Amino acid sequence: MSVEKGRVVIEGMGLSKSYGPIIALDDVDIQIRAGEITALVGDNGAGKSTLIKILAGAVIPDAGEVRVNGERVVLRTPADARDLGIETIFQDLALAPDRDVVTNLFLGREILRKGLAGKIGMLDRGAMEARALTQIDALGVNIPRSTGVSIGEMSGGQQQSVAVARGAFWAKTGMFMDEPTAALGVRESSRVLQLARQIAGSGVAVVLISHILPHVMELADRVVVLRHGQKVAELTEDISMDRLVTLIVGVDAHDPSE
Amino acid sequence: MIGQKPPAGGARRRIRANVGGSRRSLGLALAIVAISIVMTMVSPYFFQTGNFLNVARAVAITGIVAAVSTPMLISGNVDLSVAATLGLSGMTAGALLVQELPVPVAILGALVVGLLMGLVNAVIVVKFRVNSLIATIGTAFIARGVAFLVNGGRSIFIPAESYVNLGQGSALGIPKPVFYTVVVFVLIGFVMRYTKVGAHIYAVGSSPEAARRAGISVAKITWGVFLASGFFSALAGVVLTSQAGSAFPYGGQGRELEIIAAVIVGGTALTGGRGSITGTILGVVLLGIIANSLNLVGLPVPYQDISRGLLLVAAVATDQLSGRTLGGRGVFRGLRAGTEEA
Repeated sequence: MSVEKGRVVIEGMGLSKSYGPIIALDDVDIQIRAGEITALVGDNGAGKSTLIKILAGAVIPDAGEVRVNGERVVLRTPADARDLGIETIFQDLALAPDRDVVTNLFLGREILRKGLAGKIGMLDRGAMEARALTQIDALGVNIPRSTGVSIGEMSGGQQQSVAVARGAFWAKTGMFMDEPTAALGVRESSRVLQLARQIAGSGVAVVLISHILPHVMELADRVVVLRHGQKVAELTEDISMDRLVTLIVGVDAHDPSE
Repeated sequence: MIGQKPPAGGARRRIRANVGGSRRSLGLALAIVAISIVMTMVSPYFFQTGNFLNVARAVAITGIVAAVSTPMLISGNVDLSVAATLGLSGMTAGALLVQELPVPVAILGALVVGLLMGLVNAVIVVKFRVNSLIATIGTAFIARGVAFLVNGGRSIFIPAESYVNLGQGSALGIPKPVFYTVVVFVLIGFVMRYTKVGAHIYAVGSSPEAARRAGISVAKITWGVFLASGFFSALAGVVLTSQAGSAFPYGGQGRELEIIAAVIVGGTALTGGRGSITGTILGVVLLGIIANSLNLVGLPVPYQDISRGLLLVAAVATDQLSGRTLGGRGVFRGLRAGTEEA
């Protein structure tokens, strides 16, 4: 299934969310397009993570609606989003450290054997291994291919590569990456970002949250800037460091909220 | 290893992780063989079929409970009410048999009591978010108290011959309790190794948050391990009372720590996420052989406790030194207020 590049696949309209007196997100519209990397930037507390979490089903908005492939959807749990082909990559805590790559790639979505064995819940370990290796090769990620190596014994970059590989494996519609490189070194970061580009190239809508503006400028097809819970800009060209910083911090810019 | 060469720095660590679990099993097997060789030279009674059957019979009851305690610990929980459940369910079966109810009804009654214990534990842990260590110490006291109330603190002589026949004598040359224990080990071992449920139990113990994010219901898994724990502890109670021909209110008393020691010696991490039924079998057998050996050389029972303690500490210390302490915080989750997310 190939989706034409640039088609809006995930859409948020009028999204708002408050935590007590704190307004995390204030009437934000966003459109995420297939085959593109949309970067979400903003200062701490600007509402980036809240927005992503709403689109990923991890947070329920106070107001607004979400559309996937043009249809209105209600995302109550991350599982709802996953069922629609939307995956989220977090900084941490998304993998089971004591388990191996294959188990982690299929965590919660194991392949069962056919027939009676499957009915009693028997895993088809062979099929899972074969598909996992195919995926790892297709992405060209540098992780130990041997089974029985636990994730916790791998480097941070390898662990994040496993998380990204898993996201890519299941993401049919969109993949959200919330600071995927925050815990990584320079080389590992660039590898993960390369993966993001590859995944977008396969027609998936990729959303990247990052504090690292050079990464954003290098990778993003589109940059959405949030400030104090509001969308203040959406850029597709002339994305310069100065312009981004100005928009993010809000100085020298006309901002009706201040 | 196939595929790319791992970076030099990580290679050694990775190889160790690769063999971590099986290396423990190998170590235990070697220890069993070594003790057996020494004992064969020391005692003429050791290397005999009858003696091995004695060892097997001695560990059969605790073996059943150790088997079900393995997924419990792997899931990051612990059930310290297993021994009290064993005692209470045995008393339940005894009380029902004294009323001349049919044997299947008595067994069913005991198993239902076990499931109820599991249910209560699960409610406390899942719904009230009480740490499983604390919750099951509480329910252990309650169950033990009730077991004493059943017959005014007295034991119950079991009149039903067909019940006693279930636990006494042999089938195919194997003492019947051992037979049941083997079945339980095979069943639980199968679930842990080959099924989705087993994979989810490991995942929940390794990282509850990662499991949750992967759509696995941590609550369901917790319910499952506690219900299984209650059920198989009750089964052990049935086997014990049928083997003994009587039910004792103090049946199984103090065995919970011995059982958990065997599981941990077998390589299951108290921090969750790691462990195997094979390891537990070896842990149970090793502790059984040590107890048997000390008996044969005429050392009194307190030495068994001392050896058990030494072995447990040595096993866990090896884990620490080899850095096999990854994963979630297991049974330590929620022990400090405010450390658990909603």
